[in-house]
Amino acid sequence: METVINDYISREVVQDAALLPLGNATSLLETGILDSLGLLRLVVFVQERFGVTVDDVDLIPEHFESVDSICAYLRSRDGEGAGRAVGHG
Amino acid sequence: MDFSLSAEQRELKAAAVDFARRELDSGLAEREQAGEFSPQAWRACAKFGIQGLPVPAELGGAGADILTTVLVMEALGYGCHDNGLIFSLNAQMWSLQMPLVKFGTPAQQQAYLPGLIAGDLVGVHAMTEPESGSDAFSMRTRVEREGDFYLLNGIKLYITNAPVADVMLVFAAHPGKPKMAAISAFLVEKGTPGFTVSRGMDKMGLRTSPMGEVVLDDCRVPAANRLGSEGAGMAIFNSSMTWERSCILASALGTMQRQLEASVAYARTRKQFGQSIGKFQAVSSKVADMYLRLEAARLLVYQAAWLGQQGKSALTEAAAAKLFTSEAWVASSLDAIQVHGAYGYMKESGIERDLRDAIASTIYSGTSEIQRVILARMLGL
Repeated sequence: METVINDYISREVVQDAALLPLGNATSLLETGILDSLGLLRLVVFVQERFGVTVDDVDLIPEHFESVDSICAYLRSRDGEGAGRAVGHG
Repeated sequence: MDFSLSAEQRELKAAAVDFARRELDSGLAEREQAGEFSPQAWRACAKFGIQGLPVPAELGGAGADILTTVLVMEALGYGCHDNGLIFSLNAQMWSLQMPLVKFGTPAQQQAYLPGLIAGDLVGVHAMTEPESGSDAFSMRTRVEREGDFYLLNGIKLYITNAPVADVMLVFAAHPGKPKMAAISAFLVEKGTPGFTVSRGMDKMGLRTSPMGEVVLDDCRVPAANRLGSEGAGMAIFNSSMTWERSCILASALGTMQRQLEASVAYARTRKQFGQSIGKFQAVSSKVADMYLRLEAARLLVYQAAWLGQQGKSALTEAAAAKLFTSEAWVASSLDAIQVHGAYGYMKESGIERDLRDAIASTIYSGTSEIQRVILARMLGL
Protein backbone atom coordinates (compact mmCIF):
# COMPACT_ATOMS: atom_id res chain seq x y z
CA MET A 1 0.00 0.00 0.00
CA GLU A 2 2.82 2.40 0.90
CA THR A 3 4.45 1.85 -2.48
CA VAL A 4 1.23 2.41 -4.41
CA ILE A 5 0.44 5.66 -2.60
CA ASN A 6 4.01 6.91 -2.67
CA ASP A 7 4.18 6.24 -6.42
CA TYR A 8 0.91 8.07 -7.02
CA ILE A 9 1.90 11.13 -4.99
CA SER A 10 5.38 11.21 -6.54
CA ARG A 11 3.94 10.96 -10.04
CA GLU A 12 0.75 13.01 -9.83
CA VAL A 13 1.01 15.42 -6.92
CA VAL A 14 4.62 16.46 -6.33
CA GLN A 15 5.36 19.53 -8.42
CA ASP A 16 8.90 20.23 -7.21
CA ALA A 17 11.28 17.50 -8.37
CA ALA A 18 13.71 18.51 -5.60
CA LEU A 19 11.30 16.81 -3.15
CA LEU A 20 11.83 13.42 -4.81
CA PRO A 21 12.38 10.67 -3.90
CA LEU A 22 9.55 10.99 -1.42
CA GLY A 23 10.01 9.37 1.96
CA ASN A 24 7.00 7.61 3.48
CA ALA A 25 7.41 9.67 6.66
CA THR A 26 7.91 13.00 4.86
CA SER A 27 5.32 15.57 5.85
CA LEU A 28 3.09 16.25 2.86
CA LEU A 29 1.69 19.31 4.61
CA GLU A 30 4.83 21.06 5.88
CA THR A 31 6.59 20.57 2.54
CA GLY A 32 3.54 21.96 0.74
CA ILE A 33 3.33 18.86 -1.45
CA LEU A 34 -0.39 18.53 -0.79
CA ASP A 35 -2.64 21.47 -1.47
CA SER A 36 -6.41 21.24 -1.15
CA LEU A 37 -6.99 20.06 -4.72
CA GLY A 38 -4.05 17.67 -4.53
CA LEU A 39 -5.62 16.17 -1.43
CA LEU A 40 -8.99 15.75 -3.13
CA ARG A 41 -7.37 14.11 -6.15
CA LEU A 42 -5.53 11.77 -3.80
CA VAL A 43 -8.81 10.92 -2.08
CA VAL A 44 -10.43 10.04 -5.40
CA PHE A 45 -7.43 7.84 -6.24
CA VAL A 46 -7.46 6.11 -2.86
CA GLN A 47 -11.19 5.47 -3.04
CA GLU A 48 -10.98 3.94 -6.49
CA ARG A 49 -7.82 1.99 -5.88
CA PHE A 50 -8.56 0.58 -2.45
CA GLY A 51 -12.33 0.40 -2.68
CA VAL A 52 -12.97 2.48 0.41
CA THR A 53 -15.15 5.51 0.94
CA VAL A 54 -13.35 8.40 2.60
CA ASP A 55 -15.91 10.41 4.50
CA ASP A 56 -15.64 14.20 4.59
CA VAL A 57 -15.12 14.11 8.36
CA ASP A 58 -11.98 12.00 7.86
CA LEU A 59 -10.21 14.57 5.67
CA ILE A 60 -8.28 15.90 8.65
CA PRO A 61 -4.54 16.66 8.71
CA GLU A 62 -3.51 13.71 10.87
CA HIS A 63 -4.85 11.26 8.29
CA PHE A 64 -2.98 12.87 5.39
CA GLU A 65 0.21 14.07 7.05
CA SER A 66 2.43 11.54 5.24
CA VAL A 67 2.29 8.35 3.19
CA ASP A 68 2.62 6.44 6.45
CA SER A 69 -0.31 8.23 8.07
CA ILE A 70 -2.50 7.74 4.98
CA CYS A 71 -1.79 4.01 5.10
CA ALA A 72 -2.42 3.90 8.85
CA TYR A 73 -5.77 5.60 8.29
CA LEU A 74 -6.71 3.23 5.48
CA ARG A 75 -5.75 0.21 7.57
CA SER A 76 -7.90 1.54 10.38
CA ARG A 77 -10.78 1.28 7.91
CA ASP A 78 -10.17 -2.46 7.61
CA GLY A 79 -13.36 -4.34 6.96
CA GLU A 80 -14.64 -1.79 4.51
CA GLY A 81 -12.42 -2.95 1.71
CA ALA A 82 -9.48 -0.78 2.69
CA GLY A 83 -6.06 -2.28 2.29
CA ARG A 84 -6.97 -4.38 -0.71
CA ALA A 85 -5.74 -2.99 -3.94
CA VAL A 86 -8.36 -2.73 -6.66
CA GLY A 87 -7.44 -2.67 -10.32
CA HIS A 88 -4.00 -2.88 -11.85
CA GLY A 89 -0.48 -2.47 -10.57
CA MET B 1 -28.74 7.20 -13.30
CA ASP B 2 -32.51 7.45 -13.32
CA PHE B 3 -33.88 10.96 -12.96
CA SER B 4 -37.54 10.11 -13.45
CA LEU B 5 -39.55 11.73 -10.67
CA SER B 6 -41.72 9.79 -8.27
CA ALA B 7 -45.33 10.88 -7.79
CA GLU B 8 -44.33 12.25 -4.38
CA GLN B 9 -41.50 14.32 -5.88
CA ARG B 10 -43.82 15.71 -8.56
CA GLU B 11 -46.37 16.70 -5.93
CA LEU B 12 -43.74 18.33 -3.74
CA LYS B 13 -42.34 20.25 -6.70
CA ALA B 14 -45.78 21.50 -7.70
CA ALA B 15 -46.53 22.49 -4.10
CA ALA B 16 -43.25 24.44 -3.91
CA VAL B 17 -44.05 26.33 -7.12
CA ASP B 18 -47.49 27.18 -5.81
CA PHE B 19 -46.09 28.27 -2.44
CA ALA B 20 -43.39 30.43 -4.04
CA ARG B 21 -45.88 32.18 -6.33
CA ARG B 22 -48.29 32.87 -3.48
CA GLU B 23 -45.95 33.96 -0.71
CA LEU B 24 -42.50 35.06 -1.79
CA ASP B 25 -42.68 37.81 -4.39
CA SER B 26 -44.72 40.38 -2.53
CA GLY B 27 -43.18 43.87 -2.86
CA LEU B 28 -40.14 42.45 -4.62
CA ALA B 29 -39.50 45.41 -6.94
CA GLU B 30 -39.42 47.85 -4.03
CA ARG B 31 -37.40 45.55 -1.78
CA GLU B 32 -34.93 44.91 -4.57
CA GLN B 33 -34.53 48.60 -5.22
CA ALA B 34 -33.96 49.29 -1.52
CA GLY B 35 -31.79 46.21 -0.96
CA GLU B 36 -34.09 44.80 1.72
CA PHE B 37 -34.10 41.29 3.08
CA SER B 38 -37.57 39.88 3.82
CA PRO B 39 -37.82 38.21 7.26
CA GLN B 40 -41.45 37.35 6.42
CA ALA B 41 -40.45 35.43 3.31
CA TRP B 42 -37.64 33.74 5.27
CA ARG B 43 -40.08 32.52 7.90
CA ALA B 44 -42.59 31.48 5.23
CA CYS B 45 -39.90 29.33 3.63
CA ALA B 46 -39.16 27.75 6.98
CA LYS B 47 -42.85 27.06 7.53
CA PHE B 48 -43.05 25.39 4.15
CA GLY B 49 -39.99 23.36 5.13
CA ILE B 50 -37.29 24.69 2.82
CA GLN B 51 -34.48 25.20 5.35
CA GLY B 52 -35.03 21.81 6.94
CA LEU B 53 -35.26 19.83 3.71
CA PRO B 54 -31.79 18.22 3.67
CA VAL B 55 -31.44 17.92 7.44
CA PRO B 56 -31.96 14.37 8.73
CA ALA B 57 -35.28 13.73 10.45
CA GLU B 58 -33.58 12.78 13.72
CA LEU B 59 -32.13 16.30 13.82
CA GLY B 60 -35.48 17.94 13.20
CA GLY B 61 -35.39 18.24 9.42
CA ALA B 62 -37.40 16.65 6.63
CA GLY B 63 -34.65 14.16 5.82
CA ALA B 64 -35.17 14.65 2.09
CA ASP B 65 -32.63 13.05 -0.20
CA ILE B 66 -30.35 15.37 -2.16
CA LEU B 67 -32.18 14.99 -5.47
CA THR B 68 -35.51 15.80 -3.85
CA THR B 69 -33.95 18.85 -2.21
CA VAL B 70 -32.57 19.94 -5.58
CA LEU B 71 -36.01 19.49 -7.17
CA VAL B 72 -37.65 21.69 -4.53
CA MET B 73 -34.99 24.39 -4.93
CA GLU B 74 -35.56 24.22 -8.69
CA ALA B 75 -39.28 24.71 -8.08
CA LEU B 76 -38.51 27.66 -5.83
CA GLY B 77 -36.44 29.26 -8.61
CA TYR B 78 -39.31 28.73 -11.02
CA GLY B 79 -42.06 30.13 -8.83
CA CYS B 80 -40.15 32.83 -6.96
CA HIS B 81 -38.56 35.81 -8.70
CA ASP B 82 -36.57 36.81 -5.59
CA ASN B 83 -33.22 35.22 -6.43
CA GLY B 84 -31.63 37.07 -3.50
CA LEU B 85 -33.90 35.34 -1.00
CA ILE B 86 -33.11 31.97 -2.55
CA PHE B 87 -29.39 32.76 -2.45
CA SER B 88 -29.60 33.57 1.26
CA LEU B 89 -31.44 30.28 1.86
CA ASN B 90 -28.79 28.37 -0.05
CA ALA B 91 -26.00 30.10 1.86
CA GLN B 92 -27.44 29.00 5.18
CA MET B 93 -28.38 25.48 4.11
CA TRP B 94 -25.07 24.48 2.52
CA SER B 95 -22.47 26.52 4.38
CA LEU B 96 -23.81 26.24 7.92
CA GLN B 97 -26.55 23.64 8.32
CA MET B 98 -24.83 20.80 6.47
CA PRO B 99 -21.48 21.34 8.26
CA LEU B 100 -23.44 21.21 11.52
CA VAL B 101 -25.10 17.98 10.42
CA LYS B 102 -21.82 16.47 9.30
CA PHE B 103 -19.32 17.76 11.86
CA GLY B 104 -21.38 19.07 14.79
CA THR B 105 -21.58 17.58 18.25
CA PRO B 106 -25.08 16.68 19.47
CA ALA B 107 -24.97 19.79 21.69
CA GLN B 108 -24.05 22.04 18.75
CA GLN B 109 -26.71 20.50 16.55
CA GLN B 110 -29.32 20.93 19.26
CA ALA B 111 -28.25 24.52 19.93
CA TYR B 112 -28.61 25.77 16.37
CA LEU B 113 -30.39 23.43 13.95
CA PRO B 114 -33.91 23.75 15.41
CA GLY B 115 -33.79 27.56 15.17
CA LEU B 116 -32.25 27.52 11.68
CA ILE B 117 -34.86 25.06 10.44
CA ALA B 118 -37.74 26.98 12.03
CA GLY B 119 -36.63 30.26 10.46
CA ASP B 120 -36.04 31.84 13.88
CA LEU B 121 -32.30 32.05 13.19
CA VAL B 122 -30.34 33.16 10.17
CA GLY B 123 -26.87 31.79 9.63
CA VAL B 124 -24.00 31.45 7.19
CA HIS B 125 -20.27 30.85 7.10
CA ALA B 126 -17.53 33.47 6.97
CA MET B 127 -14.51 32.50 4.91
CA THR B 128 -13.60 35.23 2.41
CA GLU B 129 -11.24 38.02 3.47
CA PRO B 130 -9.89 41.20 1.89
CA GLU B 131 -6.66 39.37 0.91
CA SER B 132 -8.03 35.86 0.52
CA GLY B 133 -10.75 34.84 -1.92
CA SER B 134 -10.05 32.01 -4.34
CA ASP B 135 -6.88 31.21 -2.34
CA ALA B 136 -9.08 30.55 0.67
CA PHE B 137 -6.54 28.83 2.88
CA SER B 138 -4.17 31.79 2.84
CA MET B 139 -6.50 33.58 5.25
CA ARG B 140 -5.14 36.07 7.73
CA THR B 141 -7.77 35.71 10.44
CA ARG B 142 -5.94 34.21 13.40
CA VAL B 143 -7.08 32.05 16.27
CA GLU B 144 -5.29 31.39 19.53
CA ARG B 145 -6.35 29.17 22.40
CA GLU B 146 -6.81 30.82 25.80
CA GLY B 147 -7.95 28.28 28.39
CA ASP B 148 -11.50 27.24 27.63
CA PHE B 149 -11.82 29.89 24.93
CA TYR B 150 -10.44 30.81 21.55
CA LEU B 151 -9.54 34.37 20.57
CA LEU B 152 -10.31 35.28 16.96
CA ASN B 153 -8.80 38.29 15.22
CA GLY B 154 -9.31 39.34 11.61
CA ILE B 155 -11.69 40.67 8.99
CA LYS B 156 -14.14 38.72 6.85
CA LEU B 157 -15.47 40.37 3.72
CA TYR B 158 -18.39 39.82 1.31
CA ILE B 159 -20.21 37.69 3.88
CA THR B 160 -23.71 36.77 2.72
CA ASN B 161 -26.44 37.20 5.36
CA ALA B 162 -23.97 38.90 7.73
CA PRO B 163 -26.16 41.92 8.57
CA VAL B 164 -29.04 39.66 9.65
CA ALA B 165 -27.11 36.62 10.85
CA ASP B 166 -27.63 35.21 14.33
CA VAL B 167 -24.87 32.64 14.05
CA MET B 168 -21.89 32.36 11.78
CA LEU B 169 -19.36 29.61 11.08
CA VAL B 170 -16.07 31.54 11.13
CA PHE B 171 -12.88 30.04 9.71
CA ALA B 172 -9.54 31.08 11.22
CA ALA B 173 -5.91 29.91 11.07
CA HIS B 174 -3.67 28.75 13.90
CA PRO B 175 -0.34 30.59 13.55
CA GLY B 176 2.74 28.53 12.81
CA LYS B 177 0.96 25.51 11.35
CA PRO B 178 1.14 24.34 7.72
CA LYS B 179 -1.59 26.02 5.67
CA MET B 180 -3.55 22.82 5.08
CA ALA B 181 -3.58 21.92 8.77
CA ALA B 182 -3.97 25.39 10.19
CA ILE B 183 -7.65 26.10 9.72
CA SER B 184 -10.34 25.57 12.35
CA ALA B 185 -13.99 26.60 12.29
CA PHE B 186 -16.00 28.23 15.08
CA LEU B 187 -19.68 28.85 15.68
CA VAL B 188 -19.88 32.52 16.61
CA GLU B 189 -23.13 34.04 17.78
CA LYS B 190 -24.30 37.59 17.23
CA GLY B 191 -23.52 39.56 20.38
CA THR B 192 -20.30 37.71 21.15
CA PRO B 193 -17.84 40.30 22.52
CA GLY B 194 -15.41 41.33 19.78
CA PHE B 195 -17.75 40.28 16.94
CA THR B 196 -19.27 43.06 14.84
CA VAL B 197 -20.79 43.41 11.41
CA SER B 198 -19.06 46.64 10.55
CA ARG B 199 -20.94 47.58 7.39
CA GLY B 200 -23.47 46.35 4.90
CA MET B 201 -22.47 46.19 1.24
CA ASP B 202 -24.38 47.41 -1.80
CA LYS B 203 -24.47 45.05 -4.77
CA MET B 204 -25.29 44.90 -8.47
CA GLY B 205 -27.65 41.94 -8.04
CA LEU B 206 -29.01 39.59 -5.38
CA ARG B 207 -29.91 42.82 -3.65
CA THR B 208 -32.47 41.26 -1.29
CA SER B 209 -29.72 39.05 0.11
CA PRO B 210 -27.85 41.17 2.64
CA MET B 211 -24.05 41.14 2.60
CA GLY B 212 -21.55 42.62 5.00
CA GLU B 213 -18.09 42.85 6.50
CA VAL B 214 -17.34 41.09 9.77
CA VAL B 215 -14.71 42.31 12.20
CA LEU B 216 -13.27 39.96 14.81
CA ASP B 217 -11.41 41.94 17.45
CA ASP B 218 -10.28 39.63 20.25
CA CYS B 219 -13.54 37.81 19.68
CA ARG B 220 -13.79 35.35 22.58
CA VAL B 221 -15.45 32.08 21.59
CA PRO B 222 -16.02 29.15 23.97
CA ALA B 223 -13.94 26.08 23.04
CA ALA B 224 -17.21 24.14 22.92
CA ASN B 225 -18.13 26.22 19.84
CA ARG B 226 -15.30 24.81 17.72
CA LEU B 227 -16.84 22.73 14.93
CA GLY B 228 -14.87 19.53 14.39
CA SER B 229 -11.34 19.04 15.63
CA GLU B 230 -8.56 21.64 15.53
CA GLY B 231 -7.32 21.74 11.96
CA ALA B 232 -10.55 20.30 10.53
CA GLY B 233 -11.41 23.60 8.86
CA MET B 234 -10.26 22.48 5.45
CA ALA B 235 -12.34 19.30 5.64
CA ILE B 236 -15.38 21.31 6.72
CA PHE B 237 -14.91 23.89 3.98
CA ASN B 238 -14.32 21.32 1.25
CA SER B 239 -17.37 19.36 2.35
CA SER B 240 -19.65 22.38 2.38
CA MET B 241 -18.29 23.61 -0.96
CA THR B 242 -19.08 20.30 -2.65
CA TRP B 243 -22.62 20.46 -1.27
CA GLU B 244 -22.95 24.08 -2.26
CA ARG B 245 -21.59 23.69 -5.76
CA SER B 246 -23.85 20.69 -6.35
CA CYS B 247 -27.04 22.33 -5.15
CA ILE B 248 -26.79 26.13 -5.09
CA LEU B 249 -27.76 26.55 -8.72
CA ALA B 250 -30.72 24.17 -8.69
CA SER B 251 -32.90 27.25 -8.35
CA ALA B 252 -31.28 28.69 -11.49
CA LEU B 253 -32.70 25.72 -13.41
CA GLY B 254 -36.15 26.90 -12.40
CA THR B 255 -35.35 30.47 -13.30
CA MET B 256 -34.05 29.44 -16.73
CA GLN B 257 -37.18 27.33 -17.27
CA ARG B 258 -39.30 30.39 -16.48
CA GLN B 259 -37.22 32.54 -18.84
CA LEU B 260 -37.56 29.94 -21.59
CA GLU B 261 -41.33 29.70 -21.24
CA ALA B 262 -41.69 33.49 -21.14
CA SER B 263 -39.49 33.86 -24.21
CA VAL B 264 -41.45 31.24 -26.19
CA ALA B 265 -44.74 32.92 -25.25
CA TYR B 266 -43.43 36.37 -26.16
CA ALA B 267 -41.88 35.19 -29.45
CA ARG B 268 -45.23 33.60 -30.42
CA THR B 269 -47.33 36.68 -29.67
CA ARG B 270 -45.07 39.60 -30.54
CA LYS B 271 -45.51 40.42 -34.23
CA GLN B 272 -43.16 42.36 -36.50
CA PHE B 273 -43.11 42.53 -40.29
CA GLY B 274 -46.49 40.79 -40.31
CA GLN B 275 -45.57 37.66 -38.38
CA SER B 276 -44.58 36.38 -34.97
CA ILE B 277 -40.96 37.23 -34.18
CA GLY B 278 -40.48 33.53 -33.32
CA LYS B 279 -40.80 32.80 -37.04
CA PHE B 280 -37.52 34.61 -37.62
CA GLN B 281 -34.67 32.15 -37.19
CA ALA B 282 -32.49 34.81 -35.53
CA VAL B 283 -35.01 34.78 -32.68
CA SER B 284 -35.99 31.10 -32.66
CA SER B 285 -32.32 30.07 -32.55
CA LYS B 286 -31.89 31.97 -29.29
CA VAL B 287 -34.85 30.11 -27.81
CA ALA B 288 -33.42 26.79 -29.00
CA ASP B 289 -30.10 27.65 -27.37
CA MET B 290 -31.89 28.54 -24.12
CA TYR B 291 -33.53 25.10 -24.13
CA LEU B 292 -30.25 23.34 -24.91
CA ARG B 293 -28.33 25.07 -22.11
CA LEU B 294 -31.12 24.47 -19.62
CA GLU B 295 -31.37 20.74 -20.29
CA ALA B 296 -27.57 20.28 -20.20
CA ALA B 297 -27.35 22.24 -16.94
CA ARG B 298 -30.20 20.22 -15.45
CA LEU B 299 -28.45 16.94 -16.23
CA LEU B 300 -25.20 18.17 -14.68
CA VAL B 301 -26.91 19.37 -11.50
CA TYR B 302 -28.97 16.19 -11.17
CA GLN B 303 -25.86 14.09 -11.77
CA ALA B 304 -23.91 15.86 -9.01
CA ALA B 305 -26.88 15.46 -6.65
CA TRP B 306 -27.27 11.79 -7.58
CA LEU B 307 -23.59 11.10 -6.91
CA GLY B 308 -23.83 12.82 -3.54
CA GLN B 309 -26.87 10.73 -2.76
CA GLN B 310 -24.89 7.56 -3.52
CA GLY B 311 -22.18 8.75 -1.12
CA LYS B 312 -19.74 9.06 -4.00
CA SER B 313 -17.16 11.77 -4.55
CA ALA B 314 -18.68 14.53 -6.68
CA LEU B 315 -15.96 17.15 -6.65
CA THR B 316 -15.43 17.16 -10.41
CA GLU B 317 -19.11 16.84 -11.23
CA ALA B 318 -20.06 19.56 -8.75
CA ALA B 319 -17.51 21.94 -10.27
CA ALA B 320 -18.83 21.15 -13.75
CA ALA B 321 -22.43 21.64 -12.65
CA LYS B 322 -21.67 24.94 -10.94
CA LEU B 323 -19.55 26.28 -13.80
CA PHE B 324 -21.90 25.31 -16.60
CA THR B 325 -25.13 26.29 -14.87
CA SER B 326 -23.88 29.70 -13.75
CA GLU B 327 -22.68 30.57 -17.24
CA ALA B 328 -25.84 29.12 -18.79
CA TRP B 329 -27.92 31.31 -16.48
CA VAL B 330 -26.10 34.45 -17.62
CA ALA B 331 -26.45 33.43 -21.27
CA SER B 332 -30.13 32.53 -20.81
CA SER B 333 -30.83 35.89 -19.18
CA LEU B 334 -29.11 37.74 -22.02
CA ASP B 335 -31.05 35.74 -24.63
CA ALA B 336 -34.33 36.32 -22.78
CA ILE B 337 -33.70 40.06 -22.72
CA GLN B 338 -32.83 40.04 -26.42
CA VAL B 339 -35.96 38.07 -27.35
CA HIS B 340 -38.08 40.52 -25.35
CA GLY B 341 -36.33 43.54 -26.91
CA ALA B 342 -36.84 46.90 -25.23
CA TYR B 343 -39.36 45.39 -22.81
CA GLY B 344 -36.75 42.91 -21.59
CA TYR B 345 -34.41 45.79 -20.78
CA MET B 346 -37.05 47.47 -18.61
CA LYS B 347 -37.09 46.85 -14.88
CA GLU B 348 -40.79 45.94 -14.98
CA SER B 349 -40.01 42.85 -17.07
CA GLY B 350 -37.91 41.41 -14.21
CA ILE B 351 -35.54 39.84 -16.71
CA GLU B 352 -32.85 42.46 -16.25
CA ARG B 353 -32.93 41.61 -12.52
CA ASP B 354 -32.39 37.94 -13.39
CA LEU B 355 -29.33 38.95 -15.40
CA ARG B 356 -27.85 40.99 -12.56
CA ASP B 357 -28.51 38.09 -10.17
CA ALA B 358 -27.10 35.53 -12.60
CA ILE B 359 -23.78 37.32 -12.98
CA ALA B 360 -23.08 36.79 -9.28
CA SER B 361 -23.35 33.05 -9.77
CA THR B 362 -20.18 33.06 -11.86
CA ILE B 363 -18.35 34.50 -8.85
CA TYR B 364 -19.74 33.04 -5.61
CA SER B 365 -18.87 29.54 -4.38
CA GLY B 366 -15.71 29.71 -6.49
CA THR B 367 -15.44 31.76 -9.66
CA SER B 368 -15.83 30.23 -13.10
CA GLU B 369 -12.07 30.50 -13.43
CA ILE B 370 -11.52 28.48 -10.25
CA GLN B 371 -14.05 25.84 -11.36
CA ARG B 372 -12.02 25.43 -14.55
CA VAL B 373 -8.84 25.09 -12.47
CA ILE B 374 -10.54 22.38 -10.40
CA LEU B 375 -11.67 20.54 -13.51
CA ALA B 376 -8.22 20.72 -15.08
CA ARG B 377 -6.50 19.53 -11.89
CA MET B 378 -8.95 16.68 -11.46
CA LEU B 379 -8.23 15.67 -15.05
CA GLY B 380 -4.56 15.40 -14.15
CA LEU B 381 -3.18 18.71 -15.41
